[in-house]
Amino acid sequence: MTQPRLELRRLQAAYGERVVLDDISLTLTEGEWFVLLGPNGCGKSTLLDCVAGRKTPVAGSVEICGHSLRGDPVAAKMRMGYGCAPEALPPLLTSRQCLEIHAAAKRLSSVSEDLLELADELRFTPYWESFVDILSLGTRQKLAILLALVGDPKLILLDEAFNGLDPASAQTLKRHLTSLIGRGATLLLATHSLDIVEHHADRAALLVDGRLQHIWQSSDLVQLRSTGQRFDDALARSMSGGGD
Amino acid sequence: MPAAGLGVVGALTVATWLLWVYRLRVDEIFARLQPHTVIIAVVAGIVAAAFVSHRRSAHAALAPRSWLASLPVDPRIRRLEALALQLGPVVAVMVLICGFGLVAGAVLGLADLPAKSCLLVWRSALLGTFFGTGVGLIVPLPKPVSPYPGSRYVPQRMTPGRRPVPSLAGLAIWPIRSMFAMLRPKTLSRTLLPVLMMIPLGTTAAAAMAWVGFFGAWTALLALIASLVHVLRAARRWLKPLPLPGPRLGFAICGVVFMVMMGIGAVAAWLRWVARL
Repeated sequence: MTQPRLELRRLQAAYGERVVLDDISLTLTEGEWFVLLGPNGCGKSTLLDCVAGRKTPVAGSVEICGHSLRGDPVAAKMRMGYGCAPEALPPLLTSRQCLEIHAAAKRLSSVSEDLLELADELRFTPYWESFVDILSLGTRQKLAILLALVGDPKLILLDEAFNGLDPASAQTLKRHLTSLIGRGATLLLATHSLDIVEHHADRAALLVDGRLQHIWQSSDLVQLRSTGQRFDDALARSMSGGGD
Repeated sequence: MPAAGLGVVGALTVATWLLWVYRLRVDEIFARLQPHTVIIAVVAGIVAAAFVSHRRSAHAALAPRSWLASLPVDPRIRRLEALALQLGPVVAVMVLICGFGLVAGAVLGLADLPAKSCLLVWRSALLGTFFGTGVGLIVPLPKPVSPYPGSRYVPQRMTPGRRPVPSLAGLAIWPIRSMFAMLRPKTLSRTLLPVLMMIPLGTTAAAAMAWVGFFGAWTALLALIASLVHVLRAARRWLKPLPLPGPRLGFAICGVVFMVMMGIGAVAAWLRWVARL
């Protein structure tokens, strides 16, 4: 049996007194596109923050490729790529410097040709020498995604990564992510786009009020696709507590 | 009594106590300031005029984008609201000046010390602020300046087409760029004005230049320290998901900046030495 790429055990997170994640247990395996769905404020971004090490959980554990995020954070983070929010990027650095810093932090000897080709396909190449603060929202989003993919991480964490992207770039990115997953990477994506679940996801989970209310297994999604049903009907049934 | 009220009463009590304890020194300071009442009034007027004019300009830029802009509010109420927003801090300063002047005058009077110099200084500051506020309200609005993007004031050597090479060098340069973004021309000119006014008449041009350079170096040093603190916090937030241990991150950011600080410090010391010659 292959080692899980991400293993969350009884994860709990809170902001002050307010518990936003409660008893979350989840395992992601190699070569999986996992989509996290849920209404605004349900805890999707907090879950990604806990996995990325940006937020310390109140209880529970996070393991990335068998390395505990608390016990061995450097080894765990070496295998993970996190796409930060566009507004979190440093405004006074150029895009190239951001990329160089990410590559150096991951102790790479060079930036992969694959990543530079993706930048080219996303029409990002003219912006390598631009300061981040003059980039548009969509261009910053592209930079955040490119930074998440530095060093071919085994676990990719993306939060609303398709927001602000033009349709052609979104299509290019979906194609590239599918190719990475085909080569063994695992993707955890928090999104509101149901078309990604309908066409790309291997599994999907619905997070409501900090708890995993429902998980659609691969077989469920295959069945949805084969019968031509729309995913929003299944989601509405789960939201109302009716199950699948 | 609410906490804010208790705070005000407490602050007044402490201020009165301090004025009483140091009454002789306070009297001496006011006596020294008395011959300069005109300068005090002019400085207070310039500061008040610049402040009110800046508040007007900021209000003119922000009001149309306010989340309350589309509400059906009477234009007269809008004008009153704008006036309150533009003048609020200056009125608060005037109240403080009045309060301080009255308390200081009363303390000096109780201690049988002459309160005349205190009242003259107080009157100058108050009149200067009052007239400055008026000037700030009637002068034409300055050209709006967009505070962003900050990179407009940052020097950058462009190397288009250069292939990215893994390096933390960008982290070292970030606080210095942040300092340049902070020290935009308008800020520099405002910092320079009080420095020029402090140089006594009769000073030689060489000494005056050295003093200006000395204060410039100190301004750069303070801006660099503020930038370093800001960058350390921002970098920690941004790079937390990366396998970059804290000491390595700290060294990458602070190493070059500390050397630049030492360089600025050396220049400041040299200028101070030159100015005293």
